[in-house]
Amino acid sequence: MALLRLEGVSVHFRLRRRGRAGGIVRAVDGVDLTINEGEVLGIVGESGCGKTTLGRVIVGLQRPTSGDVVVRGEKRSLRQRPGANARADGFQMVYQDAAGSLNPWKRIGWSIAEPLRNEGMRKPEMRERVLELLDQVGLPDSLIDQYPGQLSGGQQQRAAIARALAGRPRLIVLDEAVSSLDMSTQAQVLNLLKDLAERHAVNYVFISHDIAAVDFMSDRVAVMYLGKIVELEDSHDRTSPLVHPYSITLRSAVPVPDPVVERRRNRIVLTGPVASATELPSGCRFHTRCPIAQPLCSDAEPELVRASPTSRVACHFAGEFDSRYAATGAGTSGASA
Amino acid sequence: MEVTEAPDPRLEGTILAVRDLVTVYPTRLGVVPAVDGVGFELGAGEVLGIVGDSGSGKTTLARSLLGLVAAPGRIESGEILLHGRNLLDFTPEEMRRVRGTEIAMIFQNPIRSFHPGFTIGWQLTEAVTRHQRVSRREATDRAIEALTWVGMPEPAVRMRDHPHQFSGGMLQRVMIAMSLLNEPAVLVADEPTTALDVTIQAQILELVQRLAVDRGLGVILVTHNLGMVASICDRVMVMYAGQVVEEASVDDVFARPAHPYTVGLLDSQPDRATGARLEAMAGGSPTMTALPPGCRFEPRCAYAEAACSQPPDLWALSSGQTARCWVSKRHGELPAHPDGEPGTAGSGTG
Amino acid sequence: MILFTVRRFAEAVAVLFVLTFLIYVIGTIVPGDIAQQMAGIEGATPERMAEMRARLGLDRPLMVRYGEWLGNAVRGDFGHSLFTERNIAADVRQQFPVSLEVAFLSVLLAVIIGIPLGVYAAVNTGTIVDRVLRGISLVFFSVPTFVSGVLFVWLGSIVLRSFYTSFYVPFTEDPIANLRSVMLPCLAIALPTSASIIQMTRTTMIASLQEPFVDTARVKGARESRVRYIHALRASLGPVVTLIGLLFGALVGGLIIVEQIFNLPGLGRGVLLGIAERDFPYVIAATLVIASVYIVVNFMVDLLYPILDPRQREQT
Repeated sequence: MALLRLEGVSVHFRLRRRGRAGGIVRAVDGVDLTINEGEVLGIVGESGCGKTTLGRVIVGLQRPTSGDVVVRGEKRSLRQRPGANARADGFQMVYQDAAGSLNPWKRIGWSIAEPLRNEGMRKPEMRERVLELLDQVGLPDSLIDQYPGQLSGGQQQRAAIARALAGRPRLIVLDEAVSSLDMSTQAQVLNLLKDLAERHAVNYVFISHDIAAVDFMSDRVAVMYLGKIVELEDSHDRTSPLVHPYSITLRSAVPVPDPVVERRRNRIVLTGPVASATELPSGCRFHTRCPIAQPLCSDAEPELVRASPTSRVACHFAGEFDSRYAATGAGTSGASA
Repeated sequence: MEVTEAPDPRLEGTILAVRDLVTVYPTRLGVVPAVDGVGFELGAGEVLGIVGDSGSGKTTLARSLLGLVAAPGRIESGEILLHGRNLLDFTPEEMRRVRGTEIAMIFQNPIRSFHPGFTIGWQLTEAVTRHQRVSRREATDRAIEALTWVGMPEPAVRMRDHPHQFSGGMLQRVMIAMSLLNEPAVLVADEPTTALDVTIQAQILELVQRLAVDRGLGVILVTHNLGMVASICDRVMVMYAGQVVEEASVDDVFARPAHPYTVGLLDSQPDRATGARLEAMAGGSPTMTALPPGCRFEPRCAYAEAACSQPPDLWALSSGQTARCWVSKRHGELPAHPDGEPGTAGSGTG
Repeated sequence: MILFTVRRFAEAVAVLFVLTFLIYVIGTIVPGDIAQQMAGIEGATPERMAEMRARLGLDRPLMVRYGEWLGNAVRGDFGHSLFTERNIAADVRQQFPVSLEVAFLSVLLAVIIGIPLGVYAAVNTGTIVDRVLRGISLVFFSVPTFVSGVLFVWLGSIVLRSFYTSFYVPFTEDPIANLRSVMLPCLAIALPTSASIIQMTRTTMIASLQEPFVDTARVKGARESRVRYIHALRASLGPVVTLIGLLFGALVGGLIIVEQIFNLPGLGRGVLLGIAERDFPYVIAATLVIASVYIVVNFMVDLLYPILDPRQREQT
């Protein structure tokens, strides 16, 4: 059964400049998405693609401008305060800036216990539970009485995760949760997140700009570009490549930690102008930068339709990337790496 | 006043040589050696990657090269030889003249690295007029030319724009153009793509690499991204807790890392094909005020043995690599896995 | 940019218009009026009072009087003083340049003292000099103008005699003598004013010096003085300029006291006298002029923002 379904969800912000109405930012624009019980959904995209806003909608911290959020078969009421939705649904969010999300004037134990206090748990019980949580995220008991400033970045992020786990949530949205950590610490936290998912039957939405981390964490990947999902996997098959030109470019742009591979590789470098969420281009949103764009792409906006056995893609020429890119005269060797 | 000194004959082909550099920061808990006896050499057209976690001293090292260590930090000892002249003997005014003309630097966040109040043209021409007595006209012409090197469309028009009218990627191009205006010999790039989108990163990397090759520029790339190192660096220096723990050619480092920390870094990379658990290093970097007495990596190291309680040196191995590790010194290389525990080390790139 | 200027100007005019009304209304509702003053407390029979009010036109409705006054004021006619019976516009024309000179010179001095010291304190944060500067500026800030004013009068007449003349000489007549007559009064106002400029400059400079663009300037090979005074200071000026605009408002209090103490024939002294004598038309006219200067200064400050920070230009 679906844990959560987004139906035609849009979030538009009105820009205000010096008190006068400006343009409209279409941060999220008509997104349909299902999160199934027991899976990790990865959302990958660049800055400004709307992935954080979408994460906030999922958690219930952001009310959609239009569209419905259906939680376990029931439409989420829009009348409640945004924060109340998250609590009622048992959803949590973990942010990139762990230091900023922990109260610097309170001890770690106090911050972790926050969801427990909201439940009305009693003090001795609460301490017991916080120690248990510290243990689960691999932090020593002694940290319970320390302040966030005394912790390293990795420890702070673990504490933030412990707090998210405290209320035994059904879903945790991880928004760039490991992006500001050192490599070695990042690996530790990624491992921890994986273990916790297996042990506690908690769902994640893993949001990141780092496609390698998203690949590692996720059962399914959604690729976002300018407020739209341009590619959505629906199978757990890790080996099948993504097929949207943007997905391919995104993956091709990430250098692989192997000099031999890197020397052989022919990276796709985008040249066109980057469109913005305030002034969306006509037709396909990616056509201004797409290496295989055709006249059709600037006229008609492609729908998200099945393009391969494992994924749905919003592209008029899905699956034809390699042949079309070759025709442009550029090399393609690493294109679908 | 120029410092005249006979060039060191050992430095043939080398632009920049750093020896035993120590940069310290006084703290309440004692003096911290942020850079602790670092040495390396950089040749023309060479791209040297400096890799390490935050706090490893890589950024302090980069800033030391330009004499930009923020007080109360200071360079304690060592030599920074640029074309054989020791920059640490230079007066502040001489050092000022080195910045921009001989060693240039670009930073992590291009948007915040430009002054919001001045036009791009003003900021570019300023780089020229700090060092040369040229007319406004000529400074402008040279700035426009530099913008064409980095592929800026309509450079003469864009000169009149302010930084907020550019995207982050475009600004980093402008920053690179600015750094090249006085034709420096060395470019220090401190995490130049970290703040940029992935698709833009590729463009900037390509640009840096092309400029290094075309102009015989020595590039020092400070980064935490191993993919980037593999993609454009010729040699790599891995830093841990203020020290160099391994230095080698990029192929050697990735094919057969000689220090357990390097192994750990490579193993920390998420592996898409399997999605299996990562071989994460345990623990975190040591506190600089309470360093382990022996090898600084020993508390986290899977290979640790009795010898590791003594501080190791940076030894040259038979493979041509150098590593600060007792184990690889004893074996001549780092064994495929720690004794008795097969399969937990080795190259993480599959 | 032009649109922005026009809009700001229209706003300033509107504010001024509302202000005239407020000043007029407040001026008329304060207790005690000139009729009483002129009739004398003893001989103020209700009949005489009514007759006096009728003669002065005070018996008509407020709005009518305001409308009439506004109509005249627009033409530069503020009527006659009820006390001296002289033409107010002529009086104000004579007093205004004195006050304006003192005001601008005071702020100029405060800026000349405040900004370099603020930059110096920011560059040397935590050093003894920084702490001493903070202490001094706290003292300056807390000493009331009437104390510093008296102190400066004493200084001027006993110690620094060559820097001070006790009567006002217009600048156009003798610039040197003019400066001698206003220098010390201006200092009396400038010192407490500079204290807040020092603090504001210090705070914003400390933030600016942390910005990456400061390093960019150094890496280009700019000298440290240039890095501070061109790059970092330029980025810190926004809040300082705002503060200076606001300080013009706070200046009025100091002006009234200092003109009194130093015997300067300016608006401040006139207002003080006018209030004491319930010279309502004069007080309104003087207040209006002072308020206009404040509005004009802040209008100029508004125009400075987009020049200081180009990011604000797009938004108009």
